[in-house]
Amino acid sequence: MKKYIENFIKYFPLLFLLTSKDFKLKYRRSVLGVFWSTLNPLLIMIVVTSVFSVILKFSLEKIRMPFAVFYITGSLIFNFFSEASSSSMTAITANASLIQKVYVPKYIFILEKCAFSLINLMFSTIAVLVVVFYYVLKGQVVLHATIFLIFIPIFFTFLFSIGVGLILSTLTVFFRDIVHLWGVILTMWVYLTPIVYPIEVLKFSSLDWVIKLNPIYYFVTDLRKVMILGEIITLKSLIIESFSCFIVLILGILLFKKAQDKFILHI
Amino acid sequence: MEEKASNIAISVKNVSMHFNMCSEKLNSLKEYFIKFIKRQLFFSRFIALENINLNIKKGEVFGIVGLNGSGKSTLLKVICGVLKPTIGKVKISGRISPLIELGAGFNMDLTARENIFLNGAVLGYSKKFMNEKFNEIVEFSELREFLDVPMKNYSSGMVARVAFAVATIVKPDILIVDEILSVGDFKFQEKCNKRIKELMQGDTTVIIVSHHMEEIKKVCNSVLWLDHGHLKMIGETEKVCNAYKNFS
Ligand SMILES: Nc1ncnc2c1ncn2[C@@H]1O[C@H](COP(=O)(O)OP(=O)(O)OP(=O)(O)O)[C@@H](O)[C@H]1O
Ligand SMILES: [Mg+2]
Repeated sequence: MKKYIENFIKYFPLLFLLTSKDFKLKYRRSVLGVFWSTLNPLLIMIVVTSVFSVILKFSLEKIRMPFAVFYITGSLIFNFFSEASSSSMTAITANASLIQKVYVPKYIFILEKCAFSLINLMFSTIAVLVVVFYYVLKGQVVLHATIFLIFIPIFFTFLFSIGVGLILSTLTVFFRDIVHLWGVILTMWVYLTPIVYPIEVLKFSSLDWVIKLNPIYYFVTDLRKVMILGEIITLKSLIIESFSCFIVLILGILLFKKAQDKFILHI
Repeated sequence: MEEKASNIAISVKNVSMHFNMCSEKLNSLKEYFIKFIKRQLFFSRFIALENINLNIKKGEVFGIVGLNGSGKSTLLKVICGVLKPTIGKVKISGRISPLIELGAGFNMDLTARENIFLNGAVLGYSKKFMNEKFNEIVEFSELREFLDVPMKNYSSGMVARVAFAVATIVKPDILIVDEILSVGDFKFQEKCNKRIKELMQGDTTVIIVSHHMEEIKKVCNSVLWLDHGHLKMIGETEKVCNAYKNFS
C-alpha cells in the first residue's frame, strides 16, 4: 500500500501536466473557449425547456422548481459522467506510444481524463448558477445554505466515473468496438435517468424500479435537493451512493490491475 | 558462483517473454464472438525471450548484440519495466533512465517548453526539479529560439535533441541506450556521445544496444549475444564480439 502511495505522489506532477495539456489544447485556439463551454449548456437548456415544459405540462408541479433549473442541474451531472467515461475509455489506447516506451502507472491516464472532465464541469456549473440566480431574482427559487453541499453528489459522480472509466478503458484495449457500443448505452442510460422528466411520471410503471437501480438517479436527485430545494441528503441515499461507488471502483481497480500488464501487447 | 547482492545493479532471473500472435489482428468484440462461435480462435505463441539469466554489476558498461528481431529491445523493455515478463523476475537497484526511444510522450501540438515539463513528469521528476534544470536542458539542446513553437514544426533531429537533453539531465544509476544516436547531425551526435561518456565515468551502470561493433568494443566491459531470444554467449567483449562477427 505504501508503495502505491509513493508511486502516486511521484507521478502526481504528470497527472497535473496531462490535465493542463488537455486544457490548453482545448482552449488554446479560442479565447472564447471557456465562454463557449458555459454558453453551450445554456443554449441546449433553452431548447429542451421550451419543448419539454409543454409536453410535461401536468407533472411540472412535481419537480418543485422551474423546469429550466430542473433540466440543467440534471444534465450537469449526466454530461460529466458521459464525458468522463467516454474520454477515459480511449485513454489507454490514445497513449499507446507512451505506454510502449516508458514505465508510467497506467491508471494516471484514466484519472487525468476524469479530472479534466471535472474542470469542464466547473465551467458548466457557472452556467447552472446563472440560471439559478435568474430564477432567484424572479422569485421562483430560494437560495439555501445547503447549496454548499453540491460537492457531495459531484464527488460521488466523480468516483463512479473513475470506476466506470477503469472498466471501459480495459475492455477497449481488447475490443475496440466497445467505443460504439458505449455510445448506444449512454443514449439509453440518459433516457433512464430523470433528467428531462420527474421520476413521479413513472410512478405506476415498472420502469420506476429500473430507474431506482441507476446510481446516477441518486446523484442527480441529491444535487437538486441540496442546490435548489434546500434539503439535506438522506442517510439512505448516502449509503446507496457510497455503496454503488465502492462496488464500481473495486470492480474497476481489480479488472484494471489484472489486465494492465497485457495492455502493451494489444495496443 | 554467488556474487555479493549489493554489487549487482540488475539481476535478470529465468526471464521468458512470450507474445500472443494472432494470425490477424483481432480486437473487436464482434469478430471475437464470430470466431469464438466458429471455434476459430487460434493464438500462436511467439517466444521473444527464453530463459534469460544475467547479472550486471554496478558501474559496468554492458553491451547487447544480435541480429534484427533477436529480442534486444524486448529485453531492455523488460528491464526498465515497460514489459512484464511472462515468466521470471527482474530486480533493479537504483533509478533507471531509459533512452529507448527519444521523444516518447511528446505531444506534437504542444510547444517545446510545455513538452520539456511533460516529459520530465513522464520520467517521474518533480516540477521544482524541472524548473531548476530547465535552462540546462535548453542550453544543451541549443534550440532556445524555438522554445515556444509547437513541436510539430520541428525536424526529427530537433525533436531528438530536446528528448536527449531531458533524458540525461540527471545522472541515473542505470542508463539504458537503444540505438538512439542515429538521428541528429554529427555535431550533436558528438555532444551526445560525450554526455554518455560522462555518465559512464561515474558509477552509473550502462546497457548499450548497438549494431556498431566498433562502438561496442570501445566502451563495453562485457557483452551479451542474443540469438532468436536465446542467450547465445555472454562474457568478455572481445571474445563475444569476435564470435558474433564470425557467425554472421
Ligand atoms: N508487442 C509485440 N507483439 C508481438 N511481437 C513482438 C512485440 N514486440 C516485439 N515482438 C517480436 O519480438 C521479436 C524481438 O523484437 P525486438 O524489438 O526485441 O528485436 P531487436 O533485437 O531489438 O531487433 P532490432 O535489431 O531490429 O532492433 C521480434 O520478432 C518482434 O516481432
Ligand atoms: Mg531494437
